[in-house]
Amino acid sequence: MSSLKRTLAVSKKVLRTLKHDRRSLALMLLAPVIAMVVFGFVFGSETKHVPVAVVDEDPGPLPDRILANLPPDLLEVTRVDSWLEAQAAVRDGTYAAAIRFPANLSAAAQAGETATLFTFVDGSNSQEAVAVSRALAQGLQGLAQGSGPSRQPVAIETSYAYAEGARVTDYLVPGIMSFAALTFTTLLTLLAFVGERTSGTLSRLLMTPLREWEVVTGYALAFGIIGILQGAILLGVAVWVFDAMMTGSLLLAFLVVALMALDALSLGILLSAAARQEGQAVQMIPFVIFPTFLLSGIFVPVESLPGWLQPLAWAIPPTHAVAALRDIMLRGWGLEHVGVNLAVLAGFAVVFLGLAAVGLRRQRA
Amino acid sequence: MVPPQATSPGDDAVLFRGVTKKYGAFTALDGLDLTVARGEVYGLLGPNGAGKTTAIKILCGLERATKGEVTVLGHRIPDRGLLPRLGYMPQETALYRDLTVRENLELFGSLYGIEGETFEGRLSEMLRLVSLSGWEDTVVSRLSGGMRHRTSLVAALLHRPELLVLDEPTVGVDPELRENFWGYFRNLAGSGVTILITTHYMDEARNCTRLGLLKRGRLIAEGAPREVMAAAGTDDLEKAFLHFASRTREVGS
Repeated sequence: MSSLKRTLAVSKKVLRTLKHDRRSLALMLLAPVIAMVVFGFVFGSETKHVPVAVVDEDPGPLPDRILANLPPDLLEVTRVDSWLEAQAAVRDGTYAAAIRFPANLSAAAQAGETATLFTFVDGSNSQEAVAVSRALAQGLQGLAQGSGPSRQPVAIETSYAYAEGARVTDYLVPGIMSFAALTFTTLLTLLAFVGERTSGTLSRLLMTPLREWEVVTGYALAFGIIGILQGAILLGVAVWVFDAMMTGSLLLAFLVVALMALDALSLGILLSAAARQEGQAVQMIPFVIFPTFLLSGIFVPVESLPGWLQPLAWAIPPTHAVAALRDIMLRGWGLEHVGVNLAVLAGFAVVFLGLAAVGLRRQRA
Repeated sequence: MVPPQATSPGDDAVLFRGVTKKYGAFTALDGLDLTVARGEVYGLLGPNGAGKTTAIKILCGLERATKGEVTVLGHRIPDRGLLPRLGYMPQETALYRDLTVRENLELFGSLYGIEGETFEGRLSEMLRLVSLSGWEDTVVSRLSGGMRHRTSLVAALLHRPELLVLDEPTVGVDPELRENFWGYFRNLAGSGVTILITTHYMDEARNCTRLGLLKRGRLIAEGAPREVMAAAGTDDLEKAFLHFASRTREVGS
């Protein structure tokens, strides 16, 4: 028997196995495609549509010329009547920045004096903050070419609503923290629960007076404790190792991470219902990691995602965790602002745990 | 068809009436009728795939019958209230490998509400019985197969069930200890506990008060070991089993 024949026999056996295991086949074929498509959309889209308020007090033509020079799509300009109103809107998160063209701008530029425009920036989203200054620089550059090469006629004076001096690290740490809490907790719970199923201990447990929801809650408690430890360690590393900005309440940030861990462990139990062996559980991991990595706003602001992807982004727990952590750590916001995110995270936990318990009951029937 | 419920089922420990279980196109149980009286040691025999484990899983509420009805200790199942009165030892030793013998048994004890002194008392009594005294603090993965089986048996007995269901309990247990097991089973039965046991060992089947021979999801012969052998015209249980098995093949095909 030749080597080729033996090799083909093995190939045939593998293909036959896949024929019986449709799920693995579907995963092998679809997962990379989905990942690739989502990757392409997310990184193909730069930061754009950054919401900016513009207060134009200048009767002259200069503001309109600057606005016309702005790169298309980068900023989403809304005209606001008063500077106070614009600043308030930046503080409450409606706009990433506000730009003020003072009354004497055109006149000063005409007279050859240095005219100054003012920006008020929310530094807590470093990508959007950078996009605003990049857009303005481009807008002013066109102006300089028009009125002589030597001198920049307009200066920019910037003040910050939040997180003045926030570095990219400060912006990324909340996201990476949520990502770590989600993926590892999900993975650990998933494997632990699949082990319960394959070793027969789960059905053995369900033979005792133990109820399905008790199994799930018992797991939730145990992993919840681990999640709390994990959250504490993650925050500790963030604050003391990365020297991450912590403007708001450390306790509130901790609560977000703990809730995130609870979501993750209930997701793990839920996913384990669909996996009969460890191998199948491993196949599911990309489906947790990729959406979290790409959609939850860790690297790319949710507002910059294609419109049809945004509802999807808000439909997964880590997006809420990332948003809440940034609000707390960079903006110093309290429960009155991040309460909604916390409620959503808690809601996910309840729904996931409930579904996990129902999944166990189905297995029993 | 389900036969009419003529007699009171309360006197029987287990009653299967026309129970059918299908997994897709495969029929694991095919209209099974089976009665186990209280205090009996009932042996369910049959080749692999005959439906023994399926019958036990339905009995314990782990699976639901496609058709027919099952009564256990006077209650139609499924009935959660029955669970504390049942003891079940699965074929595969479903223990936590990373936990010690004591930690495993503490878990099962506490699931039945057996804790503290009661637990300690029963633990030492049961461990002595299965010759595992002194192994309490050994991690299960370090135990031999037979020792795991014995630990699993203790887990099924800690709460003193009225009906003990044992799925091949003596696989991997040496002959001497197997004899001890049977001595204990007889004692339990003497005190009113009903035991339903599946086994491959014919010499063990002799110890049962009654036997049921299962094939392709149906009961093909039933009775005390002596009766079964007499009906087959042999004094060897193994031969009797083969006799009935071959007879159904002719009828069935």
